[in-house]
Amino acid sequence: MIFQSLDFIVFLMLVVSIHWLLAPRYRSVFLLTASYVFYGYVHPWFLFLLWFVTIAVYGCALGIERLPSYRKPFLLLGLASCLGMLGVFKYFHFFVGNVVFALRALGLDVSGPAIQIVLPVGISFFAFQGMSYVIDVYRGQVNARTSFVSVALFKAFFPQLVAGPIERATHLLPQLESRRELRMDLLIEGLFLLIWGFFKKLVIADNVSIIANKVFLLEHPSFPLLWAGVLAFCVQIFADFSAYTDIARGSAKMLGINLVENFRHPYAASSPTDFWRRWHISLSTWFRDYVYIPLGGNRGGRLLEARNVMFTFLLSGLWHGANWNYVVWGGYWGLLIVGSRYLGSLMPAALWERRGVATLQVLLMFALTNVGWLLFRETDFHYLLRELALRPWNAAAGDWEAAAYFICLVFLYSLPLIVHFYIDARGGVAKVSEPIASRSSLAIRTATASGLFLAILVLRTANSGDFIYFKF
Amino acid sequence: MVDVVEKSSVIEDEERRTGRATTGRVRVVTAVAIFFCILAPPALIRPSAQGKLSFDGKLLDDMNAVSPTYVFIGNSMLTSRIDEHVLAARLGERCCFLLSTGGAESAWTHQALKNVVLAAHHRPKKVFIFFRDAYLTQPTYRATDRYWWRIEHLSHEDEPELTRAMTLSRTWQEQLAYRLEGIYPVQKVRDRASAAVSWIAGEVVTPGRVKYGESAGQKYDGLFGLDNLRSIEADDTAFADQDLSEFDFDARIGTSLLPSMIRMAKEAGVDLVFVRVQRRPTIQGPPAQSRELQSYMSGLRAYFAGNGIQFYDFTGDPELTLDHYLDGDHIRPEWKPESTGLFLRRLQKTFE
Repeated sequence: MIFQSLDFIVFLMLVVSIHWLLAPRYRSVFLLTASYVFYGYVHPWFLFLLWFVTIAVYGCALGIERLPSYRKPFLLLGLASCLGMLGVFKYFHFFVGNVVFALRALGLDVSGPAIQIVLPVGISFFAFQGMSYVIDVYRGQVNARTSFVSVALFKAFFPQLVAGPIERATHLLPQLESRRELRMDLLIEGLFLLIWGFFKKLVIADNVSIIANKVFLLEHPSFPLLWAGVLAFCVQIFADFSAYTDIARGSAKMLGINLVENFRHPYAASSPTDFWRRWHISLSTWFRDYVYIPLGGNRGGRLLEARNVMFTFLLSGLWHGANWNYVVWGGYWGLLIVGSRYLGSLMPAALWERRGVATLQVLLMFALTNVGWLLFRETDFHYLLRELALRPWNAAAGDWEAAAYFICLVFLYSLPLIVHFYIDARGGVAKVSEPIASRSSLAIRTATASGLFLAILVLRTANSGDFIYFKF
Repeated sequence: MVDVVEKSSVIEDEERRTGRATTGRVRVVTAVAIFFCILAPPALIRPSAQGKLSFDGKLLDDMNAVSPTYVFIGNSMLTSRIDEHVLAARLGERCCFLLSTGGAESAWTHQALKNVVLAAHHRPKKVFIFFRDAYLTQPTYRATDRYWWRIEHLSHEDEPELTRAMTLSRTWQEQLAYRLEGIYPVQKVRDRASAAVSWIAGEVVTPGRVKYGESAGQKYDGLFGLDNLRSIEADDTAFADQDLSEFDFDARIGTSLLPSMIRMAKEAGVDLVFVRVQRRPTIQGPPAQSRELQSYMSGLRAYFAGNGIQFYDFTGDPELTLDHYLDGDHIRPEWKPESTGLFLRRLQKTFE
């Protein structure tokens, strides 16, 4: 089921109502059933994968705790179940395609298998959530749950199942297991988050996506048009993905559950490291805790640190999609982080405190982020190389004017995001994503939410595209 | 002592709880009140007294002005294949094209036939309706949102056939969306709202050069013309994922608008000619057709024959090869005159 559909609105209203009407002891089973309905709504056979991972991590976690002498084998089995599923359903074609390409380059006449494997939505998200549970049990950070329903609900909780945030067992499991009370403030807050999320998706992301999609369909995009398209995509991907998170968090709040925040105004970042503290936080902290730190983190000298950063980011790139452009995108960010840390150590600390330097840093970071989005958006790597290498500055008559028009349009649709950032930066009361602080803020926020709701009705596009992160 | 302390803490808890509940309820009532106060006034903005968009008589005026012998109804499938001027010159007759770019499926076609062609002062000799595959019996295909507004622009207040077909064919989601739009018709100003945003952007970039209400972005459409785009295999992938029940001809004909089209034309003494265009062929030959689609086409063919309606199917035409196609199912613009000639040759008897 997709969020931006009437099906989901009706589904959510029913689930929230029934959930609070039910006796507390039945709520978890009900939420689990609802989550399976949500996931299997279009393709019921995808549920088998979810069940497979759930059973695997449930069994392995119990094995780790109850059979201490087999802790490692159970850990490896749990990880292999999740990674194996990812390998087959997400990376099989990528792997085979590259092997066939390499063999052909060696002069061998081979062809790939004819089978087509469908990529189930959200597979990367629930696989990573499953792995974190097994690792946390292995590390002793969380107790293995004997209740299958608890583990299954942790894996399948519908608001965050398809595109995160990637929850940790230490944060979500206790909430799912506790007795929840209906709280009006959480209900209202959830509703506001839903409206803000739908606004970002249906008004901002969908409208600017028209520009990005047009530009990235061009055979020979000129320099100004290409970057106008990249800017549009930059706004689109943030509005789209953060909208998903807000809708997920809003839906969960209405059920009395708090999900982690995934975004903190990422385009206000002043350095590559800062960017990843603000963008897709649940994924970057996952990689930090389960890949980067176990590899050694920043211990062991600059060279080892650089190796660890590069490996983590290349892996993070590959997580996004089975295509080389995502690996290159990950590598690009790895290089930026390694480079910025090296440069940072060379510069005097007082330099960063100078007025104006911080603004310049943010602007430079925004430009570098856009270069990254170009690598991310253009999946045809040969095409990208050809266009950038052969005709980097080309522009036909009228292209500059058209690009200026599109940039202006992107800016107009981004204004609510800019206002939101400004209010947050000033610590104002009208934050849409923060709890209701006082009666006056409730009035302001209700008025804002009503305005956003009206804007959704009159400014949404005719067709809404899928959330970008659905395909990951 | 312990009892007293415990009791007082229980009371405090209860007070806190009830106090919070009362505040919570007040907050909800306040929020709902503000929400409705802001959303109520726009609900009064209605495109017409009935909440429906008013009938647009422009196409009818065009029909009356031209008084055509032949009328052609369709969308880009028609315009990319038939050159209006070449056709009129070759036939030596007045022709009129009723087009809905990017739209025009069966519901729009039905309304164009009923309220434009058959409502005109002069009755044409023949009406050609271009369509693809099973769309003729899918009234709800391209009949939501902006597409629906186009249909409303060709509709009067009372349209029993259209209402019946839509009610029978809409899914519950489409029905709900339609009802919600009826309750809150301000949503129909969406075109004007997006045009306003576009105008502001246009004013910033080229001040004073765009009239308010015009889409400033239209002048840049040429940059994204089909010739400038990367090759696309198919422009209409929606059809590939289509529900197989759409191909159950016997089940679909009763809920479609096709019988109404045929009945109206017969009553008016106008001949209908249905033309099925060929979808994008493959390098090996004509496009593949599923068994379900073939069965559907047999049913449709038999239905036309039973009602004495002319039908021509271009699928499998040896002259319509892949190199004549631009993107998706569209024909290359440079081949349009030849395509018009092919149409005239294949349907020569129809024009005699």
